Amino acid sequence: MYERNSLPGGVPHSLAFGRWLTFSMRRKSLLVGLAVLWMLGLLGAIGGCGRSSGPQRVVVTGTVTYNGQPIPNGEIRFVPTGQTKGPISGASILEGKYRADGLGGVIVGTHRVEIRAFRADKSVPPDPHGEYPRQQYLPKKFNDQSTMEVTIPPDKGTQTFNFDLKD
Amino acid sequence: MVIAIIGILIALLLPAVQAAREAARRAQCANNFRQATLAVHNYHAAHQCFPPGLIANWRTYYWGWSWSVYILPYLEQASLYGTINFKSQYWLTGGCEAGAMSIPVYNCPSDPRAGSWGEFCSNFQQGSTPVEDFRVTNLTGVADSDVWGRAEAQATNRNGMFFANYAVRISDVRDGTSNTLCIGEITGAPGRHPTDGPGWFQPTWYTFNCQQTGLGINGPGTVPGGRPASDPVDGDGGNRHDEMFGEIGFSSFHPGGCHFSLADGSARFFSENIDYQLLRAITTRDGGEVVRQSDF
Repeated sequence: MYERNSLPGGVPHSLAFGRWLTFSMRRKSLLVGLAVLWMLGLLGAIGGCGRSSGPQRVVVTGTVTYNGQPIPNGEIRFVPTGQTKGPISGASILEGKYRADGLGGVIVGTHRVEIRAFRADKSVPPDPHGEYPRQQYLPKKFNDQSTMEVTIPPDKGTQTFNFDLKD
Repeated sequence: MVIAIIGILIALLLPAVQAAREAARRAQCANNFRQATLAVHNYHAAHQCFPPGLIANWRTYYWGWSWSVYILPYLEQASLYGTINFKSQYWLTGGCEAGAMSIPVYNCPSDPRAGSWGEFCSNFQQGSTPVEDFRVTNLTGVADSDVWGRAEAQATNRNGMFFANYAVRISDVRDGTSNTLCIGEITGAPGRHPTDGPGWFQPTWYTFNCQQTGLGINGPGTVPGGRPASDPVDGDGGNRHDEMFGEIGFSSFHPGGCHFSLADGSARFFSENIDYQLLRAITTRDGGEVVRQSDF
């Protein structure tokens, strides 16, 4: 007990500490402490709070038609292919238009393009709730077996790619 | 003067504090994944197989309960499991009531809609409005690398861990349990019921709780991936649930990615920038791909 609570000179710890922290000293240490906190906050703001940096992405937009008609409801996917590594990206097609801007857009590089279009399949009976299943009606050469490729250049700004699909 | 300085300092510190809180929520979420995957393994120990993704009868549309129901006894929810009459249907009296319960392990603390009601079925209601059918989940079984959906489910590759009418065994996981995804994180999106008005569309823990990884992580159909508010889940291209399963893939409100558990019982955070081919490779349980574990 004696050794833990006393300084070598026999002065109790608490007393020595009180003497050392005079008023002005206390204020100075407060400022120093705040400065340290500020530095930590700055570090956090710079290093810790941004979205994790990934591959460069570009917003891609355009129109999609099938046999001359705009696709009312569908989806377009950009699947990285060849040397391009990264995540799949895309957008829904509404009234013949799409805009792939999720997470910043499509990653730069070469992609295989898959286009699907959906409608209610009324060739089968509806389910017990009177609803028809969703049917993908484009030929497979535009989606599952697509060979359409686009290369997204590493430019700033929006890129436009239009697709006119024909049987 | 001092107050102004302190104010600025606090303003500078706030983002760091919020980041720390998000880190805590992420840790809690990862723990949920570990708990659920441990329960899946305990199920395997008792039944010599993993639970089926769901039991479904496609001809009659009479679908049943999902894997997340079958593991209830291994999540300290044996009494809730005991209330379910498995001779009923998941949407009929005796079979449906348990789905009104929110299970904490299935809820991500970062998702503002965690544990809330989801719209699942016409003419079916357990909450206070007709679009409140079952409680939603943030933990969804990894079904397939390419296709999973209500209509396509029979044509699926069935190459994941949880899909319809089949119970995978650990000996089926030939890629290795450390290289195979088991459970993933998912979110929902606002939508519209044809007659009952606006509702929330998200997989529920009670039924049809599976998804494919072909849409990537935080893909364009998800709210974290930038799904526009102008495109609600409303079945404008056919049944709205087909739209939900076809567009809303694995995603989370944690910044930059989402959680998956692997079949070995570990849980990890995966970046939304993960390579498409790598995500496919670790989705399949028997694909024979060579993957470097340092890549994910």
